[in-house]
Amino acid sequence: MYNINLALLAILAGFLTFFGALSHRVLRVASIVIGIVGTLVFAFLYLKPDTMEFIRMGVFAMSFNLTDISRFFLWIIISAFTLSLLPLIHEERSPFFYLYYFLAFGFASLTIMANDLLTLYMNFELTSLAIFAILLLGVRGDIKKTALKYIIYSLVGAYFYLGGLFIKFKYSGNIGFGGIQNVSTLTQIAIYTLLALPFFVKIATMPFHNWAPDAYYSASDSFTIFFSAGLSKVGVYGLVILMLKTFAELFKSNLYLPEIIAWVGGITALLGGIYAFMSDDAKKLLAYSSISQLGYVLVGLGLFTPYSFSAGIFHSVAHFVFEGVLFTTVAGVIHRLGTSDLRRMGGLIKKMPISFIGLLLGIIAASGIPPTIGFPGKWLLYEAIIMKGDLFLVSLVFFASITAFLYSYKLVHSIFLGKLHKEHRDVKEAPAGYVVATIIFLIPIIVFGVFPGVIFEKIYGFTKPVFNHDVFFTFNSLKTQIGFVKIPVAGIALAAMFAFSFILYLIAGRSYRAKQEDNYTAGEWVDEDFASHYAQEFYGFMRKAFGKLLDLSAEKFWNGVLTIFKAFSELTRRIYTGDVRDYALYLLFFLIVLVFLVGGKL
Amino acid sequence: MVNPILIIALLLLFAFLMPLLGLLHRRLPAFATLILPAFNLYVAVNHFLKMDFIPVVIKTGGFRPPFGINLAVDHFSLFFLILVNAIGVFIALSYLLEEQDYRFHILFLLNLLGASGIILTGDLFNSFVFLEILAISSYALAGSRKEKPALEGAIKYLIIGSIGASFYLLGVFILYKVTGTLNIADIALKLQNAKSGIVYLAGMFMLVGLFVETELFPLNTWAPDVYQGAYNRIAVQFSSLISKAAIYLLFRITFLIFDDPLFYKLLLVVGLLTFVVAEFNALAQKDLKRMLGYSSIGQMGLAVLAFALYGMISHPEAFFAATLLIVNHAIAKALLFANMDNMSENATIDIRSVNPFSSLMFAIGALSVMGFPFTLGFWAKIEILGILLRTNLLFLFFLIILIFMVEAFYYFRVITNLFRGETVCRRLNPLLAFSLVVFSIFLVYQGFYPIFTFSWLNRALNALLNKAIYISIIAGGL
Repeated sequence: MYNINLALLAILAGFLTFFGALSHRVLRVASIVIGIVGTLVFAFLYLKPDTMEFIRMGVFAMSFNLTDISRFFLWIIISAFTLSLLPLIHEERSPFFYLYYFLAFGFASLTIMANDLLTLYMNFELTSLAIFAILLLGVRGDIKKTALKYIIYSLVGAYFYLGGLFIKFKYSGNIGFGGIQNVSTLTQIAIYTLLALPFFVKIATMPFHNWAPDAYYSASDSFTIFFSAGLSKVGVYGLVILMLKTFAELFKSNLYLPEIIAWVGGITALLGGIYAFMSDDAKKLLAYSSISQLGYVLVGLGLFTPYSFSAGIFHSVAHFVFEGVLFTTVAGVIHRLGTSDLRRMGGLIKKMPISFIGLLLGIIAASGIPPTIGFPGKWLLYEAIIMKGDLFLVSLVFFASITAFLYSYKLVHSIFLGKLHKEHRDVKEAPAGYVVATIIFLIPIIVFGVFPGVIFEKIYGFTKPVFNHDVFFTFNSLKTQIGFVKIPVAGIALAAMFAFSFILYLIAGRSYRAKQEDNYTAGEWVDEDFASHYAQEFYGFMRKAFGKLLDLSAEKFWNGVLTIFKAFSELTRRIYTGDVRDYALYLLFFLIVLVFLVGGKL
Repeated sequence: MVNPILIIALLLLFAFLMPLLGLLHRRLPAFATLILPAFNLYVAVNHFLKMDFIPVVIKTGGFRPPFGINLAVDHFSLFFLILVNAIGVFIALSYLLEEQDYRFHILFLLNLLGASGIILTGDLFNSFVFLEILAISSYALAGSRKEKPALEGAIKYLIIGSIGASFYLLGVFILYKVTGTLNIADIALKLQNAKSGIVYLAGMFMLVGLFVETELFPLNTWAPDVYQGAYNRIAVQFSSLISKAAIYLLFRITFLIFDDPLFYKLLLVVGLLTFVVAEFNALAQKDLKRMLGYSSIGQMGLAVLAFALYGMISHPEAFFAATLLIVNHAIAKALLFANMDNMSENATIDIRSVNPFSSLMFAIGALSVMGFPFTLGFWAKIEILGILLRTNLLFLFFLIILIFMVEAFYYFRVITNLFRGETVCRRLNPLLAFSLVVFSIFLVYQGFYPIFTFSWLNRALNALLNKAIYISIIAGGL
């Protein structure tokens, strides 16, 4: 028992924190800190790669192995988990919340370390159950509906997976990650779709994404950090495993499947972005942003060229970093302000400077600007799509990137820029936990943005066996057949532009220092209390442009499906009329049917 | 080792002695009700572990079979005996302190007698007698609550049940006429090679009777009303005791006597219809007990469906899946229904105020019925999907998966309400709480390490499948 101990220790730490939270505030904080330290110590010192482990269950043995892919994603989850625990220190929650938090982490790590399809399924289900429990302890919104939506979407996906697992077993004789021989392409595509479905749900691919905005909105704010940055990677991991190990041949040979999946990803990216900039709530905006960014990941993975796949995986790491910092800073703001409504925020730049920097760098990364971590993945993805020759797809993804600018600006403007509201005069910077987590997140945003080679090297390690491609990167540059970028150069160029505009501002001499509350509107003088911050109907004109598009709703479709089921159940319910005379007639008719069945033999 | 005939004899004796015991001390009937199933359990487990893998014939009245009535004890019967009496202990223990009316205890013991008798007997008419004892005591138990829903359910059950039992008897008569014997093994022997048409008709008549008790479509129409109206412990009895004894008889008789593709096909269709209709009906329910009742019916349908697949794939895994599902369902439903005592009267699916302990118990029971990983039900579900895939009927495979999704939906709908309601702390019956905890620990422990259930189940099924030995030993006991 080596690596599994990580999960077991996490579960133990969960119980410890549960009892700590039950007793005293100090003990709660102390046990959370122990949890963070313990997880990190174990992860740094005791994780043993490429070791098979089993949990024997008598008739079945769950098998685990920390392969290079598992290790890569496990580290993302560990980092997201420990960083999200820092803000958690400041939140007062029910003791069970902490227990479920650690349980979710423990089962997520077991899922990533799973070495066969059934083990993966079992731990994946437990992860979903733990998340469901956490969602039931949510803090806002319609909690029952949100939690039920989440678990039902997850379970439906998981049941399809179970079906796919059995069919795969039937054709290949094993439940491992290996491929299937001697089956038609159509069967392979069908099995792939069944197996991949729960992972599509997990990364909120449209049209299975409806659980995500509500879940992110409802959940406690520090959990949302772990939820978006960490737990969604379980979904990415599942897809990577299926595509690299089980269905690599299918993706390489088939012409349509990669295109379809890439387009699904692209549409998710675009629509997610649109819903994001139409949102008036900070958490919902970030939720859609997360969905949109994971759409890019799916484009990369789905297209299945060496560059696009590497780009997809890299961008999922970027997603962890910048969504992490975005959710952390927004959580800090919500903690201080008590609201997540963007229309009621404004001008917090002076009050919460570190949060501002964090959010700013986060949205710069989300927009894919060098030298942040958001750039290499996106650049490589564009290169890959162009190399494949798919100009429509590249236009779609480009369009989606524009929406990233739009929602990024809305976010930073509504919260930090513009006029400060009167009731927020005494707001302080976010508490220490949030600030420390923000600062820690900022390090990889820049470091891996400038030196993406570090990560690409790991990705190359596990993608080369499948794609057999050459090295396309160095420490700080990327090179493809059609392009080349040296990131420090791009970073310096950006800095130079910034410096240029700053110098221009300094020497222009026409600026005048005004107080944050000093404002004007159309020639009228307004006093300090007048809410003149531009935050209402921020992209109102967009609603006219995109209005019809936004009426399309996957949720309405799924609700319709549910209604069909319920209608059918109303129909079958009427068989049980309640009148015993009808029941006796059923018996008689049934008997007559039976007699007819044997009639031929008499 | 103790002679299993004592199981039947003592139950009957104490049932008759109950009024006297009630006069002696008001708590005495309850203790007797607890001790008897416990004793039966001890006898059954003892035999299960120590007996050779050869069925044992217990003669009664000094006559050897096939002339005399005999009990046929093999591991398959012992397995069900253990299950039924474990549930009996569960019910007796949970309600030990509460029920003081000795009339309930008489009925309970008679019910247990009927169930144990069905499981132990080797004689066909005897099976009818015990079936009637089971049925009539169930009618009375169902109607023991003096309120309209319960009485309504009981009357409907009485009417349908009586008709069904009459047809079962008719079937028995026909078989007697054709084969000249009433011994199950002997009938199986005589009918092994050539079945005349009238035998099929007899089989159909007997199935009608059994379908009523096993809650199969379209003869289960009484069941939702009974589950909704009766006391919770009676609902436990129906879901985990009565229907399990009846399904034992169904399996035994079908496999031994009517081992014919026509019967398996019929069971397949009936099982599938039961499962589909019941699970969809559960979706439409507002009343929580009625929903659980439909879920019970659905699981019985699924078990019969699994059993019937043996006819298609001839693989013992079908029996394994069916019996594992039966075990899981008996325990999980007992947990769910008994737990209803901790919830408010007439609980609907929109429960508002909840007791944390009862929420947890409901969650564990529901997760096991759904077959969530790390509960016993998960292994049952895996087995069922496995045999479904063996049949190569992909449509059926995906239909069952679809219904599983429906099941998950209506259970999680309730779980969401349970864990989000206002917390209320009700006074719990300590013995009931203890029994609930024991069952929930069993379900989760077996979810992690099912080897215990699996090994016992395998032993039981080897006995069932060894038809030749059963017939030769019991019929040839001359």
